[in-house]
Amino acid sequence: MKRIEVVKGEYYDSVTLMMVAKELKKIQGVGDAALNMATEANVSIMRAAGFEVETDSLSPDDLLIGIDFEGEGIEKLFDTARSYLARPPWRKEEIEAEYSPVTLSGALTVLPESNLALISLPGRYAAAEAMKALKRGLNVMLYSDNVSIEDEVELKQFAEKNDLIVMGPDCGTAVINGKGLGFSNVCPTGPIGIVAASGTGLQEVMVQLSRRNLGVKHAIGTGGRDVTSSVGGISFLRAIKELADDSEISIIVAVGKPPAPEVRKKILESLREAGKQSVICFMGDAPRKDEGSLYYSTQLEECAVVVEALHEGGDVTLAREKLRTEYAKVSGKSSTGELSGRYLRGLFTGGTLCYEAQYIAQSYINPIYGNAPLRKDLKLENSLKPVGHSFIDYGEDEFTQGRLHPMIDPTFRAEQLKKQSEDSSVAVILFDVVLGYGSAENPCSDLVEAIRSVKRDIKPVYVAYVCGTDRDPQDIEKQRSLLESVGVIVCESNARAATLAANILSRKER
Amino acid sequence: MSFKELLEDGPRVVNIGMDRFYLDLLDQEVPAVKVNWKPPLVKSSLMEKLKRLRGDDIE
Amino acid sequence: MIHLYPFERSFDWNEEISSLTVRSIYDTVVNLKSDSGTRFSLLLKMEDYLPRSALIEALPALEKGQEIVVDLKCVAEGFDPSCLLESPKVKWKDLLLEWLEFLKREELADLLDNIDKPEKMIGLGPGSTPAGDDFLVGLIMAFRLTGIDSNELGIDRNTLGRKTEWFSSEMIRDALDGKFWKRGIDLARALAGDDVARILEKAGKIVEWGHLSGKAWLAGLAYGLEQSGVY
Repeated sequence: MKRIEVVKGEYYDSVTLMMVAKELKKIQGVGDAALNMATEANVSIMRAAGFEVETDSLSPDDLLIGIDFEGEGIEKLFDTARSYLARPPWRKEEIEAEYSPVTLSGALTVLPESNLALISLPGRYAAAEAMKALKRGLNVMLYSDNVSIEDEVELKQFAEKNDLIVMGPDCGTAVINGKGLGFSNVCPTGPIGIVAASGTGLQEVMVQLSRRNLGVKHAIGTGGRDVTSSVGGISFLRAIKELADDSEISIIVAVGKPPAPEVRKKILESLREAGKQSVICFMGDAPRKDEGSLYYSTQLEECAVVVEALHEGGDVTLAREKLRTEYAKVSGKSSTGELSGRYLRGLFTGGTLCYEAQYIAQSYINPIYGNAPLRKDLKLENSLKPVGHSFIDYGEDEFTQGRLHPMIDPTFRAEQLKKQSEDSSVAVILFDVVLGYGSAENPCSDLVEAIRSVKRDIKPVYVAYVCGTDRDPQDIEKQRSLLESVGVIVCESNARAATLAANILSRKER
Repeated sequence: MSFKELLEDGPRVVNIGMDRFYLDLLDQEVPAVKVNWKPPLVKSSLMEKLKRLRGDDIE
Repeated sequence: MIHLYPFERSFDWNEEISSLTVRSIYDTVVNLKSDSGTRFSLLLKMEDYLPRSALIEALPALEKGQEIVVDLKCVAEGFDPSCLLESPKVKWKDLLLEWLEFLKREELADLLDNIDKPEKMIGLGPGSTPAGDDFLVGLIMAFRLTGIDSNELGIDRNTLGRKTEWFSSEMIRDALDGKFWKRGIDLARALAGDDVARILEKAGKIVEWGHLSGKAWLAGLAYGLEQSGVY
């Protein structure tokens, strides 16, 4: 029996609600459980799941608890749900139940010397809170997405006038003075400064630098829309200026998707004036020739390799060639015996990692469909039913309504991995695992379970990249070993993994 | 505190939203406070009363 | 007749009471009623101290209505429910005014409706001790901390027993006499100081008290401080 209860006037963030739902589903007899704030979108989702929702006096600030339970005593389960909300059962230690402020003003009495507000509220509230923070003299990191472009422009213009910065919206990663904000890997600090309009793009560059023993002092995220013409690169340009002024930074790196033409012009000018060497990685750009102090790359590992060469005063061209040779070796390793099936499926949690992998793979196999494809005409009709070669980004909006981001909760992607594995037309599966702060505690375990449970005569070949450092909390060696224990080929970079996966197939095709 | 000062002094963070970010900051010994954020009251007579009590603008 | 031997007591329980009857029993607290209807309490935990209470190492199985004797010979004093405290520092204003937000909860709507006439709060609201009583006690403490005379509230001590539940009526009477529970005193002491972590800790201990009691109490304290004009 499916039943709904409404709790008025109590707000919980989506992560808490989803984790309570997960806990409830562990109880015997509970077929389904869903907890959502009663927004229009969520009401539709719950109705689609078979719950009857009366919307008469409902507001988006009310909480809906939906439980599907066979048997007597469903009321007790609602009590259980409420007690889980009040005292989360997944909190391992008895954290002292101290009072936490509920307003920005209250928080500023607790930490009056605050200089940054890290905001991860639902989009409909985020912009107003960001403005409050700016007005109190705080910089803002806006993890939230679903913030309108008008709000973004207003926030950034206000910030500019007041000597502050807005990192975001949709900014998931930043590093300031070696401290990670949001999703970030534990990397050494050093003489590199990064400005990034992309989350996992930034993470991959930092991780590849870290593997080459190069540290980053600051990595400023700007959100994906900053470099469009409406926003004009306000945050990007401000970040470049500060990195240019910082005497401890000797190389500036700019990462993101290609900016609008007039914004690109300003960025390049700004980098030229910086008086330092810069490496520019606008993914999806046509390759460009290096000019003066500006060096170009179109891939993330390559970007790190160029930085390394510059830092050591070495030959950049040689360094690039060496990398290409290494990639050729990777391609060479791609004969792995009998392949069953014809297609490559890429299952990703990092948007930029997915993008880069598609970009690399498409030079070996074609066409590549997806939910975030390189070309509009390659968009899948149904992202849960991929066709041909397909790359799916499970962090996209369509999957994160009512579901935690796959970097936080690996369950959904693991289910999809099993499904794709049992599709007899699939020969190779490529996937990423992102470690670091913010990510799940043991991200490989669900994937490994899924692989173990696959029922198929000849399983697909699995190729993976673990984006992390040896200082990350998840223990990268343990994660790699877990994957290797079920036969996954683990590569050293996103680019190498994509190259290998695509070559395994293209060899077969030849 | 300006952007420049943020970069020079390191972050001191007010976390508004997901708890996990706050806990990760504590892990890195970054000074931080978390806000148990609540949405503003829907307009009603109750809100008017609270407004009068608080003497500030609750949206 | 069962004899109990506490090891520590509040300052204001300083004489033997001839007969005490068990009135309510909880995991770590037993409330007792004297012939004159006054509440006394036996506690297992120090943090639960309130006026006329004593700490005991273990509680035997007791029954409602049972008469007991509490032996206070040579029992040390451990808690002063009337201690004088300074008023909260102005710098905590934004933090403590947050506690008014508890009144936004649907279950406390009645309190919010009657906030302009605090004496109407007596016996009002949900909870085995009505939340309105908790609110009122917080309010009275706020007045005490800021030097405002609680008589201004116009509460008739003599009719309290008729307007609300026994435990609450005792609680309100004590508050009017300037006596409060340890959790509240600890918080007030923290608010008079500079250690914000202490404030968050002590406030946290009150927020989690009961289902709504603690929250209503904090809302009352915040309201009283706001009304005092000191902030």
